[in-house]
This record gives sequence, C-alpha cells and structure tokens, in this order.
Amino acid sequence: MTRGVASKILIVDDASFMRSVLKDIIKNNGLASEIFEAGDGIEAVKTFLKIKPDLVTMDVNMPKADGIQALRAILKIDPTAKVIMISSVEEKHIVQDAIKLGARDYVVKPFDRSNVPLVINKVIRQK
Amino acid sequence: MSENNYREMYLTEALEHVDIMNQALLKLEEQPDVKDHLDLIFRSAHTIKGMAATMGYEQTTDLCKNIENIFDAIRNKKQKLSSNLASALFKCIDVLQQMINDENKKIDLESYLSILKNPNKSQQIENDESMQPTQLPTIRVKMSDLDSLVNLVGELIISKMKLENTLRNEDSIKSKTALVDLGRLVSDLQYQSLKLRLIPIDTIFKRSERIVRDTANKLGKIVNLQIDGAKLELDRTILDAISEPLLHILRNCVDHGIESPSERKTLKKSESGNIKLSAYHVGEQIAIKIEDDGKGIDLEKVKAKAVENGILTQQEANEISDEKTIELLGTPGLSTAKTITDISGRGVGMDVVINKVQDIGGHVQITTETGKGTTMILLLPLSVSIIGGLLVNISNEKFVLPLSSITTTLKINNNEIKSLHGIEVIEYQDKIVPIVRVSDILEIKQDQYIVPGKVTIVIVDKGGKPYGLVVDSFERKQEIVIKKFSNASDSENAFHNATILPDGKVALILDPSMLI
Repeated sequence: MTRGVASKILIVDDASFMRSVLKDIIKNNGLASEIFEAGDGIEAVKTFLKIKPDLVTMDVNMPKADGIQALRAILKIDPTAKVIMISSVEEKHIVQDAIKLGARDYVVKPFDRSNVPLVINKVIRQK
Repeated sequence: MSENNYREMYLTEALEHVDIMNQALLKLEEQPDVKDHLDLIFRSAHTIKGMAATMGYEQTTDLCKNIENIFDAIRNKKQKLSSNLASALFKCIDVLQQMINDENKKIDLESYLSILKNPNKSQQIENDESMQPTQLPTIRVKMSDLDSLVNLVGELIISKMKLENTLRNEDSIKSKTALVDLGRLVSDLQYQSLKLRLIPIDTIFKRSERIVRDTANKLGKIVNLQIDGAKLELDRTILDAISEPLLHILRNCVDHGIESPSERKTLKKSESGNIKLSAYHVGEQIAIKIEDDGKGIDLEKVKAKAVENGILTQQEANEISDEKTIELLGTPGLSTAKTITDISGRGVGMDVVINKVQDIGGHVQITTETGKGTTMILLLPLSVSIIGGLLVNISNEKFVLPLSSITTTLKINNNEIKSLHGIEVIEYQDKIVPIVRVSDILEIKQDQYIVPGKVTIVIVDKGGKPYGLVVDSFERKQEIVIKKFSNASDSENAFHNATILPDGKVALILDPSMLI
C-alpha cells in the first residue's frame, strides 16, 4: 500500500486525553511531520486559518462551537479541506450529515488503533 | 506514551469533568430552564464516555452513556428534571467518580441504571455500603516530584554517612546520641518516601486477566487464570518496567504453552489450561511467579535454533545441560515459535523480557518440564534507588554487592578450594559450589596475601544455584544509594551502576549474575 504523508495534521478534540491518543497514533504511524491541536470549534477554525493543515480530525461534541459548526466554517474557508470526523457510535446520524456537508470520512470512538491510520491514509491520498 | 501516562491523563481530565457535572447539576436544579447547564453536563458525560471507552473501561462507558441519554431526553423536553431524578443523577455521578478513581472498582451497574429509569426508587441505594468512603483521603502527585524527593533522601543518606565517618573517632556522647537520632529520622524518612512510590501489583494483574482472556478467545483455547498476592505493592518504576514483559510472558503462555482443548483432551489433561499468577516476598525482593500446565518449552528446538543461528556448535548442543539451554532463551533472536503469530510475534522475544527485568536489577528464573508446563519467576528489587549492599574490597578497590543476591559470607582455608574438571570449587553445605575470582574477571590484580592461607568468599545465588565470589575482604552492610551511569543501556556489563561512599569516593555496584 502506498502511504500518504500529510505534512500538517490538526487534531480537534475538547479532551486533551483524546488528542494525546490520536497524536500518538499519528506519530507512531509516521503520518504527519507536524501535528497541531485545538480544544474547541472556535480554536479549530482559528488554527485552520493560521496553519492551513493538510488534514483535520474533528470531534463532534465540543464547547463554544461544535464539530459540525467548525466543519462548515472550515469548508467555507477552503472547500477542498480534508476533514475526518471523530465520533462516538450514537452520533452516526450527525456524522452522516457531516459527510453530506463535505467531511471526507469518519472514525468511530473508541478507536480501533489500526483503523485510524488506514482512514487517515485514505483521505490524505484523495485529491 | 505509555499506558500509565494515558491512565494519568484520563484520571485528571475525567475527574475535572465530574466536577463540572456536579456543579452544573446543582445549578440546573435551581435554574431548570438554562440550556447552558444542560449542555455542559451532557458534554462532560460524553467526554468521559469517550475517554473511558478508549481506556477500555466498560462500566464507566456504560454509566456515562446512560447519564448522557437522560440529559438528551431533558434537552428534547421528553423528560423533566424532578428532584428525585436529580438525586439519582448525583448518586450516579458519585459512583462514576469512584469508578474513575479506582479502575478496578466493580459496581452493581444495574441498580444505578434502574434508579435512572425509576428515580422514585432512588432511596434504594441510599445506604449502599460501597458508597461510604472507606479509603483514606488521597492527593495526586506528579511522579517527577516523587523522584526528586527520593533523590534528595538519597543525598541525605550519603551526607549522613559522611557525618558518621567524620564523627566516628569522637568520644563525645552528645554527638553520638545526636547521630543516632539523625540516623533514625533519616531511615524513617527514607522508608516513607519510598512507600509513596509503591502501588499495588493488582494494577497489572488486572490487565493480565484481560490479556489472558482475549488471547485465549482469539486462539480458541480455554484458560483458567488464578491470581494470588495482588495486594502486594511494588515501586512504580519497577511496575512500569515489568508490566510489558509480564503481559508478554502471559501471552506466550497462552499462545505457546497451553494446548488447544482437543490436544489437552488427547493428553488426558483438563480441557481448560491453567495459569497461576502469584506475587510474594522473598527476603528483600518480590517474586512474581507465572506457572502454566501446558506443553513446556521444547529444549531440543531451542538447541536446534541456537545451532542454526551459530550460537552453539552441534557438539556443544549435544553436551549442553537443560539449565544452560534455558539460559539460552536470553540470547537475542532465539524465539522458538515456528511461525510469527499475531499474538506473540511482536518482535519481542524472551531475550527482551529477560533483559528488561535485568535492567531494573531483577532476575528471571525459568524451569520447564516437557508435557507438564513452565514456571517463570521474576525476582524484583523492592526499590530502584536505594538498596542494601555489602561493601567488598578487591585489590584496594571498593565494590558493592547487592544484599539481595548474597546468601552468606565465608572465610576458608586456601586448601579447601578443590579443582573439579579444571573448575575451582568448594564444598558448602554438602553442595559443590563453583568459585569465581572477581579480580580475574574485572582484570584487576588481587592482593594475594591479606590473610595468608585464608580466602574470603561471598556466596551468591544465581537462578537458585550458589556460586562463590572470591574477594579480598568485606566491610559492613550498608544502605547503597544507586547512581545510574548516564548511558547505562549496556546490560552486558557487570556494573552499570555506582554509589557514593561516605568518604566521597565512588564505588561500582557489581551485578553478581553478570560475573558468573
């Protein structure tokens, strides 16, 4: 399998624990050269503007602005932005909406640690 | 990041969210129409749920999910927050907090879920005993703070010994009494500070249950795991260092040790294999024993592999004893499993396990019997930073031997050393004990004539067998504060640690098992 490498990945999650878990998965699989973090939807949009990441992982339930609001804003800024939604099982319907809005894929919590790199890889390689 | 760091992060963050839930629920009772409070609780329950699920805490995940559902229903006006419901929720948040604090806590989840459904019955678990705080108050401390505390105590011990040295020749009763007092205080302080770093072995034994269950399920085997001594406490650093090796050993036991149910049936063994995991004290050490009743290690296969990899010649392989063969398991790249399986083939072999245990000053003993099973004992020091040691002199140099490895000391006549097949031996307690001249191994000159005709020997134990180390003389037993060499990753070396003596000189700490 050819492996895509994103130079910058932005992880958005309000729990620093979840950000660390994701960060380790991304690091251990060599998926990014730089990893950035944001703890809520507003910070996510701000950070997106600042660093223009190649890929964003987006939690749904967050303070200030939720993942869907942040997704909308990010896609308005850059319609080609690659955003992967991170959700728990029962948020599936929300995620389906997110996909319609333009999210590229989704990962379900708790993570299957081998699945996350596959999804990220797939999305990085998309045009 | 290690599992333990995740656990620490989870603990801190999840407890913050419990606080948020408590506060928001209090406010919500006063102002039932303020949506912000609702959202806050919902999100906190949701966040804890996500983290708990990632950590594999099923009950916590389940409880959070149910709390979340209630607030979702309130948000959608399908349910009202009655005072009974609020009490039920408070009870659930309380038990949630307990479950976060104690990952091994098992609760009767159903009774909590039922009071969420029927809040009018929430009094039912009012006086549940498990709700009473039985634990003493605790605070969380950063591991690095504990490390520096223990380091400081170490420094204190060294300067106390320096002071003892200086005052040794003084006659003043006053200074002697003061010194005795100081000594007692320092050792109390040392005991307390080391105790702070102890955590129950239980924390890894619990994970063992999961590993054994999951591995057995994956392989279609039936394994009964018996656990003993989980309440014993070990230094955090040691526990961290051995948790991976231990889990690896257990995976190995299930994968390569225990036979499939049908195989076992043919062998007239019970269909379910047995693994016994126990922890107990052995003198100054803690032993963790893993016994299985599987097929045992195939020593012929180990020999064949060693020949194949050029570790042994065919002739050596023909002559080698079983014990020496078992020792070969510590050689890198000597995994005997035919195919690399998903379970044990993670590029980690027994050699890594053995080296990891040795790195923290421990030893691995393995005994195996074909068809009957394998027993592995991990002998671990109680502390990584301060040990009991015996100061010995070899050629005007001082060395330290860890007390944990010493059986006894002897002074014998030179002529009691016999030669057996070219190896120097002595007779000790009706056993033939091989003699090792430390000075030869360290390539330093031994003072031959300290006591003419007499030889000083320290009997040490390696893998249950005694060996005699010849030294010039020995001094007193004393506390040894271990100073790690900065780049001490080379476990091939007999000494990778040192200590500072009361006179300010540095003495190397010898690892007897590396000398033999």
